[in-house]
Amino acid sequence: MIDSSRHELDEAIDRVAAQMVAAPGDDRMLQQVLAQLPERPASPWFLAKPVQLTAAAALVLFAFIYARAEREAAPIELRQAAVDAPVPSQPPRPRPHTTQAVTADSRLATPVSRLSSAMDRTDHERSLVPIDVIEPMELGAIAAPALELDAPASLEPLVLTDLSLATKGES
Amino acid sequence: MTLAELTVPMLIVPPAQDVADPELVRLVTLARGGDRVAFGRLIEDHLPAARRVALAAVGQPSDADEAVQEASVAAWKRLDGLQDPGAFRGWFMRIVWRKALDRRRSLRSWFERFGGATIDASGTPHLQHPASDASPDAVLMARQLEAAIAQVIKALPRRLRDPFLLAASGDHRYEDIATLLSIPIGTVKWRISEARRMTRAKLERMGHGARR
Repeated sequence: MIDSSRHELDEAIDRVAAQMVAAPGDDRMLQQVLAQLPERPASPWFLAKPVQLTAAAALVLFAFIYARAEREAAPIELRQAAVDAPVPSQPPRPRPHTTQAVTADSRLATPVSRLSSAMDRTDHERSLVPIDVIEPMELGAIAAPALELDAPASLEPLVLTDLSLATKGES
Repeated sequence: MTLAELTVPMLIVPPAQDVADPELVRLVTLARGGDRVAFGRLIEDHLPAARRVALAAVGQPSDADEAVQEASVAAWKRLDGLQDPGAFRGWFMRIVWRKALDRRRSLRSWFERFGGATIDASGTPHLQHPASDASPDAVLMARQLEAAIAQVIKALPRRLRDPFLLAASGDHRYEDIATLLSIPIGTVKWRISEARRMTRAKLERMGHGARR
């Protein structure tokens, strides 16, 4: 009894739902739709498929030629420098993704380490020109004037006997 | 005639049409070239289904017709963008659905701003009652039940009501509904089932049908 009643209710629900969206054909509406259609704008020539494909091909060709010309126009020095640049013999070693590695990275990334990496590390000592022969210094030429200048000064003692105790006009 | 005898085909799932109709392709090709007669034939063939789609979204026939008109004009303008002429039906239905949704949103905002009621709860169902030989009391009860059902369906959440009414139109497969609503097929089936279950439960609480 309950099942048949529920079945009837389901049928009623389906029927009402179908009626809620029931829409028969309408010739008048069709005429209205057709009357409202605007003139279709003619497709511009640049929207045609062959034109689009040709334009795309021309763009790719132009980009290729431009890139090639840029490469050939580069200065000789830059190209030579690029050729002479050292090539790393070994690929970079894979870095372990462990907690210790992360800690080490964070330790290296301190401001001091960044500053030291930016400092000039040129080895000036090794860059000096080596000395082949050591020449002795000529000391004879400078000995005489040096002695005169460096001679010790001798002072004679002052003799006081020559001095008169009484001056003229005084008694 | 009882309610059980008033059978209406429901949830008819049309067979998949993998092969494009040559006549459809020919009409689309002609319409692309600016042939209004060919486009009129296309619209005429799809007009009833388009109106049902729009009705499922907006609820009112006048609003649905305006949405279909807007969609037809938009389809006429964008016909060059249709890659596969055999896919005209699904393409046109999606335009109709979007136009109807735009209309529903604008109507909803207008009602909420000036009317104080939502569009979902407004209006009365336009149900067609077939001639019946039943007694006046039975007819009256049947009409009361139908009005209650329509009210309950209108009060369903949109996410349940939309797929339920689209399926009730009998024009669309689950795949088509899923494409229209941009949801998976499994979700479509679940929502349709859930809409039916909620409707039945509310009607039973209102005193219609079987009580548990």
